[in-house]
Amino acid sequence: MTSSETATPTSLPEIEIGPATDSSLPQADAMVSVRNLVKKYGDFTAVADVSFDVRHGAIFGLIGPNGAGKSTTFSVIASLLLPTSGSATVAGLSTTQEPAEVRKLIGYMPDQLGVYGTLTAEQYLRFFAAAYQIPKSDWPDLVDGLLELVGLDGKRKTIVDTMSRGMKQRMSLARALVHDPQLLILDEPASGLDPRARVELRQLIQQLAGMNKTIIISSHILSELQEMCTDVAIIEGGKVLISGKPSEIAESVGARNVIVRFTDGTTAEYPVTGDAQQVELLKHLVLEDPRDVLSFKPGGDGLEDLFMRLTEGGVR
Amino acid sequence: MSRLFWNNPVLQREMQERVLSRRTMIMITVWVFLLCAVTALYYAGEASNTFSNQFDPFGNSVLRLAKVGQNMFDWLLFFMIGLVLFLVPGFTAASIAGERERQTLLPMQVTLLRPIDIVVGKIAASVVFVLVLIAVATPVLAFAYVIGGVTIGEVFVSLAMLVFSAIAIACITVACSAVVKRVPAAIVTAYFVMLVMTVFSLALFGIVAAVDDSRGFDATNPPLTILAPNPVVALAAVSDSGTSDNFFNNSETPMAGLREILEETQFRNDGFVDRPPVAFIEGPDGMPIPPPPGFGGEGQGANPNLRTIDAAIPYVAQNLIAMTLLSAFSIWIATRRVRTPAEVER
Repeated sequence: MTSSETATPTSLPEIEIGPATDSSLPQADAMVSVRNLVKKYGDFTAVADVSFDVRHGAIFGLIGPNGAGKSTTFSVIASLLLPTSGSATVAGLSTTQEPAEVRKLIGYMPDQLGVYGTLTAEQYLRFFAAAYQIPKSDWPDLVDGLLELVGLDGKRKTIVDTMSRGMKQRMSLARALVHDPQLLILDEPASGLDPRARVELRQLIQQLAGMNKTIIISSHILSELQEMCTDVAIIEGGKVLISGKPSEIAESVGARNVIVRFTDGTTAEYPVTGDAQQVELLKHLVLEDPRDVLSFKPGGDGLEDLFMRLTEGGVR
Repeated sequence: MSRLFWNNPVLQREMQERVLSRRTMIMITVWVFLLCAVTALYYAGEASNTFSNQFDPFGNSVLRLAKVGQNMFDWLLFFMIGLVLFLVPGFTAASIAGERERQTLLPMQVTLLRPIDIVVGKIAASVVFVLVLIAVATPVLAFAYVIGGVTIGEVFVSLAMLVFSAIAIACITVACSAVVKRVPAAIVTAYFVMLVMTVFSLALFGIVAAVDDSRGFDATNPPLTILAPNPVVALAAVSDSGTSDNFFNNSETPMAGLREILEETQFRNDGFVDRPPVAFIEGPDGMPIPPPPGFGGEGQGANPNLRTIDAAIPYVAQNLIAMTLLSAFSIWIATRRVRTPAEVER
């Protein structure tokens, strides 16, 4: 047992990765249910046997490196792609058999922003309201409400293309919300945003979850997901490595660090994977370390740490 | 139907974004200015000659002015179809390729819009643009009508053909835009197709005619079907109902030249074989002698086995059929290209 001022354990215990946890829910409880999803493009397998469920009202994070199959999985759920095999359902509706009904339930925000060169924020939202066949009489209130929700109520007459990236992302989110969908699919919504815009977006997503919307989100900024996701799945090479609540995943892979803060102002981080290590740590702190302990708190980078442990980091 | 046209969100957005844009207003202004300039220059040149002609003992100034009117009408139509061929692809070629490039197609595909809604919305926006161009040009055409030499029927039929051709060109250009992914490539493709339909078809017709002539007199003449998809020739065909042929049988304008080609070919293919010069030898009474048996003609010498497609279907009808089929095919292919991958695989 060693203590370190740099607060990093010298080595991380090896973790054995088992099959993805079986988190299947009864059909009625699952807003999204993906079963044995496979998507191939010729010889290339983009998604290989992915299964997970997303509860009503959950914020579900899909975590994986580039090319892991996140966007392909999202496209299948959004009824834009047909799976090679397997199935995906939204509120019990098959994305392949009833795509029009599924689209009424989902708001999809792809990873690429698509904005028109000359439309104002108001015109932009009115266009999508028309595309979702929302009665014209509802448009004024709808536009007002959405712009207020995403914090762009002062930008009604601003050309969307001239907005900052953060504002465009929020416009894109407002567009996905035009028809008041039950499920939001957000593919890398925080990509390219500055820290302030990321915090604002995270608060907005949490606000939406509070409005009883189910949210599926992917992101590379894992600390963001850790703070807002109720459930996560880690995906690599088109396969789900593990899924469940972040704390359960951490528990199941035995990854747990603790940060100890001492009265002299120094801190140290220790691995406490099992009971034996915890006992060893307590012995060390009480009997060997001359410093007095001020506080304990969970350490490590949480999801990021887990992600690094679970994935190989290969670029596909 | 309402969802396809009047309540089509894509059409409404295109109207906001493109048709009513400053760029379009500038294009329309330039268009009107060019038409007015062509009219004014032509009128200034021709009419002054007509009125200043002191050697006109028979008082033919009115007829000459009518000739000016007809030629001006021809030139205006030629100029208008030329600009339609130039402006519509330029305006429309970016319609779907542009959506792909700026990544706005996917958000549309995930809404309740159908592929046909997107395609028809794009085409309708181009058609509205063309209708505006033609509407603002109508007073200029009316000027030619006021001068004379043109009937009101010719004006209306010509405008109708211009609109029809423009709609077909818009459909074809949207298909190019849907098939080709990048905007510059879509523009080049659309202009290339326009070239094939106009210049290349005319050149092919000329080559076939030259080959035919080199083989002597026979029953195979170049079919006008080669020119069926040519909107310029079609406009020339309908822009003169023949009322003024007695007065102005000349080809001072490109449209008149095209009409001569059409009339000659239609005559040849209307059950006649190529006629040797002997058919035009005058008889003792000064009248042309009828063609001898075996040399064609509508009389006893006509050979029904020699009737071609041109005889069965008049050229204008061939054009209408060809352009309608091309438009329908274009809409079909464009609709297929804007489907989601899931709809393609399904």
